[in-house]
Amino acid sequence: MNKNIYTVRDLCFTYNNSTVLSIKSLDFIQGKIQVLLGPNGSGKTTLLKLLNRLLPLQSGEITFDGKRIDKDSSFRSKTVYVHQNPMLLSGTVFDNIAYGLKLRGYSRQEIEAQVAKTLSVVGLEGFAHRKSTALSGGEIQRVAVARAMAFNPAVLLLDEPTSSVDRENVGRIESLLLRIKKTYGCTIIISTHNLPFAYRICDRLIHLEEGKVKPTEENILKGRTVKTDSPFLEFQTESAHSVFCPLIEGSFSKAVIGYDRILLSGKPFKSSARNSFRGRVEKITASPHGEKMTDVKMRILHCNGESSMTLVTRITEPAVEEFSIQEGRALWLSFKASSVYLY
Amino acid sequence: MENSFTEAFRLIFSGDREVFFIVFTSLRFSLISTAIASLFSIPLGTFIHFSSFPFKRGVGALLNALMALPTVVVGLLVFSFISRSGPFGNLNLLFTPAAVIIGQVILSFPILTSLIYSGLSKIDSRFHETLITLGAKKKDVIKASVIEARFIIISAVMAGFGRVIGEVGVSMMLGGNIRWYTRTMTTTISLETSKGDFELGLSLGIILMIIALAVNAVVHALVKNNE
Repeated sequence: MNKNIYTVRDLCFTYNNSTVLSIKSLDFIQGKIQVLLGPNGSGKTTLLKLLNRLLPLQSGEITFDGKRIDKDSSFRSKTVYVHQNPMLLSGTVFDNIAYGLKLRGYSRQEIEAQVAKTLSVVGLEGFAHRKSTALSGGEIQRVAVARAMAFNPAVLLLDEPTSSVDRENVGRIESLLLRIKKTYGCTIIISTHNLPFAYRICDRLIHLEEGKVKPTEENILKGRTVKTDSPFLEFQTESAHSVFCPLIEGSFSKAVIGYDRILLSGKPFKSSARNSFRGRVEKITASPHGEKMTDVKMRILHCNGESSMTLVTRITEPAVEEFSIQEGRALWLSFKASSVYLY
Repeated sequence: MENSFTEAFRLIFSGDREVFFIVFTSLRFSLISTAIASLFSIPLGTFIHFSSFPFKRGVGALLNALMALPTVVVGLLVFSFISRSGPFGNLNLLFTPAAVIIGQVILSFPILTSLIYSGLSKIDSRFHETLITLGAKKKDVIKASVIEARFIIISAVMAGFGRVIGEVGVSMMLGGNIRWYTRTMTTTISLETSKGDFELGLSLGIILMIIALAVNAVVHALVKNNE
């Protein structure tokens, strides 16, 4: 069962009389990489800063581990925010990473051990005695992450980590974040407007637009691509399903299928769609995105029973009535290989 | 004029006792007054920056305005307090080194406070946010900010020192330009020039310029080395 580390309710933040953030309800799940995706000015940085209380809460409520952050400051020692363009303190890399540890009363030996560990996690062994002013942009970014991770926080809040790095360094940041999650097991909340990065890194994607959370519109499947003799690339999901995708070069870890790309039918039918799955209706909800639209969550069935994979499809309300779609009913889902986007 | 320059250099390099006494007196007054002013202005500038109170902006504007305080006005003000008929007349401070130092402290205090306050305000907001997110309490933030702004503070102190070593109004009105006692470089320059004796005035002027340049060079080197 997923536990919420942060809950946000009725949050509203205004700046110069204009509302920059308005969120009715949003939860962040413990231990997952959650990505806030949105264009510039969509409120991503404001939300991250509010989660770390670097901005004052104007209205609404944010709880961390069940406690309101405006009433209880225990979140402060367990969460850390890293700026889009991080600023290092003057002195050495060691001084920077040791700063948070010194504030927490770590001994000299503990500090040295933690600094060495975090520098190794971020791939900067041997940098401890370098001056902070003698580092490149990418190195500053990694030192800032090391500084944040040194005291083993429960939540790492990262603001636009890829905004000022080249494509090669985006890949490095991705592996660094995955290594951090594996080493420390912490929750990572990232803001970005880099779509491929967001899909590749996320366990969960949250779209922000004009300060509001936009309803999810796509299924994101985790897995890996496998080359076959067929004219398609095969994507093997973590739940051992094969999804046919367009044949493109590279290795991918996420397959994305829009809700509106999936067809529902009572029985299998012959078509040009390469992907066809049998599933059971798990939940029917009114689509938050448009009038008279319904989101149908389907649990995909293996030949030996239910699997852990679910797919959501968006259909019209009349279609729900016409095909008598109700919870528990078995149906077929079909979509074309070209409807699958790989990241 | 050429003779004046030759005589000025002769005075500097001959080790003239009076010239060196005057230079030493000037440095002594300026260093002591700058140190005393720093002692109060560094904490005050930091306090103003880190605290919220009504009319904070007004205080900032007032400090800025006081930076241009005329030296003769300060001299006059202190004079009215320490002259025989003034409220502190019984302390017999007038025409003593203490009087000059008091005047110079009043002169440099707003400069130092204002420059330190505005210097701290210019620290990138990410700096404070970084400290807070790493778990710093307010006292830690203040300590780290002062350390981070140390070169701004040093520059402010040097600006204050520059102001007092070059002033003449306070030293003249409160020190009285007494030979072998309160005579400073600026009061000597003023006196000797009015007498038409350029040599001593010029030699002291050259020394004053050398001191000003040396102080700037030291600050520049200090900042450069630590960048």
